[in-house]
Amino acid sequence: MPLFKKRQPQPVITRAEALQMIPVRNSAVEETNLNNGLMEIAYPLSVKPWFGKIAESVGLWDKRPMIKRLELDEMGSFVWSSIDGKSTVKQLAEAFVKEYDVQLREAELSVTAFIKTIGQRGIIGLK
Amino acid sequence: MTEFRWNRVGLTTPTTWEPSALERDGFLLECEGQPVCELKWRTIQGRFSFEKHIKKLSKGHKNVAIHAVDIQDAPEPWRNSVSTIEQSGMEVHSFIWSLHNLKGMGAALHNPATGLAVLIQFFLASDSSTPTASTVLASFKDFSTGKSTPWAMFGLEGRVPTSFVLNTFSFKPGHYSVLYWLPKSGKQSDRTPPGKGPGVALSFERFAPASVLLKETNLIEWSHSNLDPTLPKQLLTDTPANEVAWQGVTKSSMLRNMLGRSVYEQGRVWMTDTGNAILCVRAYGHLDMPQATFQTICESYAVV
Repeated sequence: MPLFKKRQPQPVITRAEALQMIPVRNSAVEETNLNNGLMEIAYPLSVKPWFGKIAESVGLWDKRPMIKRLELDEMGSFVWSSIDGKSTVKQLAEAFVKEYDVQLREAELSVTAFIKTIGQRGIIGLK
Repeated sequence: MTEFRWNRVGLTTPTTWEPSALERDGFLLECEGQPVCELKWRTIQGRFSFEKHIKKLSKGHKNVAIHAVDIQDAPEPWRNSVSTIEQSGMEVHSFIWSLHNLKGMGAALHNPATGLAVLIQFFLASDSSTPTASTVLASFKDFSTGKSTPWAMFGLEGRVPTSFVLNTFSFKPGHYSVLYWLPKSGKQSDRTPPGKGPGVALSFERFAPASVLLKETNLIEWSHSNLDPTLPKQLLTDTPANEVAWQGVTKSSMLRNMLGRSVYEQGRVWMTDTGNAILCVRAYGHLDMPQATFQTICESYAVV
């Protein structure tokens, strides 16, 4: 049934190109240092227009931006604090290796997975 | 140079070559995002026919032009490498392939003593790649014989008794795991997959970064909660050299004793001096592995 066959997503950019991208923080994100040395970030939640309309019509939303909080673990806090708008993903992975003494490939996978997750939530952008 | 030892075969490559795909009987190495070497192997019984394999390859890759190469026509470094391998008792047949602007060179190897048949191919970006490919080819090793078999992958190395077969493996960030299996009968049959039926599982694990994992706990507590929560806590012993060890019968009853199904387990967890990692070796199953054997296995396991 080729009509319904799910196509494998093809990478748009190469791995080397992806590692050269620079993560930039969303200026609307606020960070809080927690007592245990970890970090919590608060970011505005992007609401889908159709959902916003329904929520507004039933009185669940007053059009103010919704804020969501995310508590980062130690390694997440380290990567977040290393995002300075100048360092590339590769440089962040190298800093991760220096801090935690893990293998470079392992650090690249961990850092890119973290960046992908927070990128999907609109917490950072890539340039 | 980096040494790759995997499921009874070994290859030494430049340090820039790293695995991008790994299977039980094959791996693909790449350098800066480009494939450079592919290795596949299996044990065959009876005669090995190179011509049949070339035909099979050509049939499976219809767009690729594959031709057998007479050793006299091969580049000199390749000839020397083939000669080195042949001296170890293996048969070598070389071939070349091309597809559009890609080309490569490879060899089918067969060890009549062990039945190991190997297909190795190199992706040649330019003519200057041939000496490197030849050096890597010459480094090929068959570890099917001997008392123990080495393995080395993703910065870890270890040795297992030759009777153990590779079962499963996973290399995820933070947790690497390689599992071997020995059936109770002592020999793995072709009909039963590894890990099924009575036998002993031997696992090698690496957890990292240790500094984060052990931040608010100690090794003994961490071992109990992360490795095997069903393990009786009294079995765990905290040895002075910052390691945890255990040994005992974890599942036993009169019926199990009668059926010979008591479950024995021994393990050792320790922190590495370099690499900020926790290493763990465990042997569990229906056979009680001799302590000296287990000790030797643990001593061979290290971060490279």
